[in-house]
Amino acid sequence: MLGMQHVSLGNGVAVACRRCGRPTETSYLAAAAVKDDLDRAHAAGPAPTLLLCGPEPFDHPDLHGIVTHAVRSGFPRVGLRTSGVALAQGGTASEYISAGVRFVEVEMLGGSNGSHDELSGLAGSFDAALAGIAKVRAAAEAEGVRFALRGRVPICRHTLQESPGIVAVLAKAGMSSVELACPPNMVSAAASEWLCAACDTGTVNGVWVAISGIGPESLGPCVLHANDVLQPQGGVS
Amino acid sequence: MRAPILKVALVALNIGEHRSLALGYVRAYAQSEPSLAGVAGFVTLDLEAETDPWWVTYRLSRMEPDVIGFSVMCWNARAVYDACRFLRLVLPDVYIVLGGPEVGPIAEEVLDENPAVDAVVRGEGEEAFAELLLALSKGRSPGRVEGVTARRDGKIVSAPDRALIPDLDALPSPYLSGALEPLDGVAYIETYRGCPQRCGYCYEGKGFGRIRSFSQERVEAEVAAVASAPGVRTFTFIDPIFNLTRERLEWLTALMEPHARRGIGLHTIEVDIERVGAEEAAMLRRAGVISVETGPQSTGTAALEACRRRFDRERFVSGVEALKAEGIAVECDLIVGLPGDRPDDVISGMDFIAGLDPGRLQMSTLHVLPGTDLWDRAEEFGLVYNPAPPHEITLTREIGFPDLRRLEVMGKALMEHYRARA
Ligand code: SF4
Repeated sequence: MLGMQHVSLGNGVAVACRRCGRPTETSYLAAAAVKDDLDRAHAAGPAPTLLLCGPEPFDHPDLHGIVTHAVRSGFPRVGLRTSGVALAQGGTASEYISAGVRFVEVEMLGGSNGSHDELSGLAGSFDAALAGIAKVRAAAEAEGVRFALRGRVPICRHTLQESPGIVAVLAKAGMSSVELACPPNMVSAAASEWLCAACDTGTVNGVWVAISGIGPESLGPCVLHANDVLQPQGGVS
Repeated sequence: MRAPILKVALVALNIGEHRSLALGYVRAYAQSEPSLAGVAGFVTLDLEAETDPWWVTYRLSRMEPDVIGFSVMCWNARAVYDACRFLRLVLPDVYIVLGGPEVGPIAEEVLDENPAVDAVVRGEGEEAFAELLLALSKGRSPGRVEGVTARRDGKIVSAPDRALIPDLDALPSPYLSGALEPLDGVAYIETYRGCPQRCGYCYEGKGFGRIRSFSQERVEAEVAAVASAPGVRTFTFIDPIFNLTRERLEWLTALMEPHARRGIGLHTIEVDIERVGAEEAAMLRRAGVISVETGPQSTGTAALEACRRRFDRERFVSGVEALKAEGIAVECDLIVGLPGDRPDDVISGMDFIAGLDPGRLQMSTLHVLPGTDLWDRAEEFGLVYNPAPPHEITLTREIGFPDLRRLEVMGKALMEHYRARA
């Protein structure tokens, strides 16, 4: 379907499960290095969608310059993977919509403020993320641009049972799709049941839920959800 | 002047700001019919399909019509039936007539299930509706009018089918007659009726088969009127295949070129993309074509065969590329739920159209429409669909209910992600 190139802004991730003890340290590449990566990705044949990933993009000192570079290079859809929190602040959402961002992927660990804030270790981040999502949608609408939202749930043993609730929240927030990003060792009948429940929650709410990281053979009746509308394509990360 | 005997309200419940071309034809014909002069007066009401049926009833009741004619499609049928029910309560004596592809092929069932409806016009409606009005004005039963199914003495009776109108120029133009005002973006011109293809899900090829064309002079006069109407910057041709023949395409290009030079554009023209090469694409650009709509509807061999559609992958790709090279946006359509398609076929189809980056992707769910080949052969193909309009497919032999819904949602996500671009 739609190819998606990942270009990383540095080391680390925007949102990590604290209970899994994943390192929360982040470091950023210099803007020039990211722009070089963008040029290389573009030269390799630009994918329909570019996703700037890695650590929280809005903490990069020159995110605006990087986005502008990507847009000018001719990537048709420039996207950001984020916790969503920064989008709620001031004019950030409008600024990046004006700069050419057409796609935002928000990472969620819990389906309520209690669980998400606890798992992410960031108090108030659930409410802020939802406020950020609403703000970026409003900004896109105000600018009259065509824009899409996607959710991403890094699945671990703590987020697995949250996944149906997260999908419900993200569907209500206006996502077009949600990725349940599973670690390869997440293969059990119980896990499949939770993942299928999340997929079904998406289907009844009109949001496509794709499961990545584990093979379709483990998905039972939800085997179709091994298909994603956005598919990784030769990224630089 | 004497008030007309019959006050006739023609009603369309449209998508958005659209205007019903069908009612334009029906009104233009009836207004020009000498036997109806001084007998019937007309008003057309174009409303949105979402309009509250009570509001539709209110608007119509204020007009105090003797006859109400609705144009019915699969997507507005429920709204029409609701409105008819309320109208019957408020205007017990009004004569309610339905016409259109949703009701014509199942006229008797429609009357059986909708006691508020008095008659259904089957097939082409212009002549039949005018004759029905004449019968009413003379106190005769419309049930004897060819092409009409009506109630008579408590029974539902169908008069014989009416032959297709042999000379389309006998139908006054909705635009030239003033029955329909051309509006920007929602004016449609028809240059012929019928379709040489026989796609199983479509009533066009089956119901109207043979191609009948309006004369070139007639089309030229309509184009001149629409393209020069105040405020009109874009309009469209609703011909099933705009590039039906090379000669026709050349003629339409020559006809449109002067208007295109003034900035008039044509949107969502339906083309047979496999017959579009560099030359044809250049012609379409010169004709002012901004966007075209095309298949493939499916790329699965079994579905293509069941629906009698041809698909040549290479020619399709080269048609899309030729149009893109001319700056023409292509809308590629896929239908979810065709007989023969398995989930993998639908996903391959999505991969195919997304990979073309045509400009627009359109995924829709199969509607098993009355009067189509799939309607007639549903059992043979194992199609289970909602018998009530809009007749969405529920499950097929190859795809169960949950997977059909999943594929629909996947298609919706693909469209939304595709649309979101700089
Ligand atoms: S779908 Fe188009 S090409 Fe096929 S029969 Fe209908 S009008 Fe003709």
